[in-house]
Amino acid sequence: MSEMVHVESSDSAFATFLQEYVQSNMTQRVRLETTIEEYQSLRDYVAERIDDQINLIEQWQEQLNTGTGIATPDMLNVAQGRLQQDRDLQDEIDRILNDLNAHKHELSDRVHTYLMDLSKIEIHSGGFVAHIFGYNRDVQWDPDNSSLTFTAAGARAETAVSVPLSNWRDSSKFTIILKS
Amino acid sequence: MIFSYYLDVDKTHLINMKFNVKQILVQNSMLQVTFDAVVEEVLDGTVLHSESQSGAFTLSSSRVDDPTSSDGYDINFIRTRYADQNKWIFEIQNNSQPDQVVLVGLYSTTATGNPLGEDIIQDDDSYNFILKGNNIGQLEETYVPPVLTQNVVNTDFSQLVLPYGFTTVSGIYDSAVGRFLLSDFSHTFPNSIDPDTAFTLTANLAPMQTDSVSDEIFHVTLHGIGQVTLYKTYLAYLREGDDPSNTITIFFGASADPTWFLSPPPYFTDKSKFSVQADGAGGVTVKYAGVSLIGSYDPSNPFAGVDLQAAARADKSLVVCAFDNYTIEFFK
Repeated sequence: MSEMVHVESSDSAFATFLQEYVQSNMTQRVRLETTIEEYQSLRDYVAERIDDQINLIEQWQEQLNTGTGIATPDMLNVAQGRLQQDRDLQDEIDRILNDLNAHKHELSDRVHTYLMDLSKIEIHSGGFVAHIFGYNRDVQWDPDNSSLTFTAAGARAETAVSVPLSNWRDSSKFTIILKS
Repeated sequence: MIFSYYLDVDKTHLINMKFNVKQILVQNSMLQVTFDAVVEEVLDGTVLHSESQSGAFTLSSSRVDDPTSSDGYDINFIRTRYADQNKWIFEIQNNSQPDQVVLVGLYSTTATGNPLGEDIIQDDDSYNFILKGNNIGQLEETYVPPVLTQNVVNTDFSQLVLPYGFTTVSGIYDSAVGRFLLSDFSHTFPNSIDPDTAFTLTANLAPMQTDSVSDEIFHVTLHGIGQVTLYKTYLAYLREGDDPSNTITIFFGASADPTWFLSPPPYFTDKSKFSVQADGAGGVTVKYAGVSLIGSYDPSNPFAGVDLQAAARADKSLVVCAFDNYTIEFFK
């Protein structure tokens, strides 16, 4: 009997550890995703600038060839230098994006391994497991009543799903806050 | 708001459960909320399949002034995954009147396995919200999943948008009425309806001439099921693959006339309502032109598509049919 109590208390300490671990990883994951989105939009912007630069260089090259317009060989050199800079920047962004994405996959794997252990403990004892959320700045987490308050369009909370069940029920209690 | 389940790390394959608020009214310190509940499967940004259901709730007044102070809440969002039957079910329950439930579900054989995670997204600027009691757990042993109604097509042709897989050579869109005038169509479903699955097909279908050279006016072929033929004086059904001598017929006792179906044009009459109901077990009921036929089909066949072909008239033109309100649903 005493051995059983021992097992349960160590289970609960383990569950607390797992909860905190998953929580911190989920928060990282949401932040990482926001960062990835920002890098992606930067990449789109640079790609657009490269296209513009190429068009401009073609125009100026044409002007130089035909001896019309304002283009000078110096202007062309500067433009080509800018183009190379942007291409280097794009390569750098791609390298960062690859790293970030790899890190995101790693985090996901880690969360799932730990969360599955937690779900097994919690579902075994109570039939369900409370979601652990990562969230962006438009969501407020209140630890006292485990509530999330969504305060603006774009607010996003994310939870991993890792349960030892193929049939399950996921539920949330929702309250509307009217905007004045 | 959206509950978005992602099935891969890069979130390219999603099951979205959406609570789309259309209007919130404050009346006598009660909140009246009208909304659409939607479940959709998205792959690479394309909606593969979507089901929706509209609802209207009156929410209890006690929390309106200060929603944060109350222990109560407005709505229970229950998302059920029943993998044994390939179902994703979204239930929206009014907490102050728990018998008020809006349920919508998706049957999907492509979104298999458990999702990796869930995003909860606020996509509407008109209100904010609190979520609590967020948990996931096992179903009670007595849980019985609901039978889900799934749309293959549901169009009233109010706009010139053809259903996916629908082609017509002769079709002319009648924009004044929002319907098609056609002598043929062929509709191949993006996914066949599974064997052993009940379904219904309904449409308004009105031949505008009944002076075809042959006795036949038009026929509708349901691939995997059978063929329905409108003759001048009777309606016929022949099970797919069956000998024509086994055709089931019912006579009208008069000659079919365009006024049976459109009266006054362009208004469809009750007789223009074409319906096929299959019970998923080999029984099929065809109703059209004021009569009905009960026949059989092979339920081990998938139901893959529908064709219509109208008969020729003396001047070599084809009979033209007015076609509208085309719906196919199956039940899983």
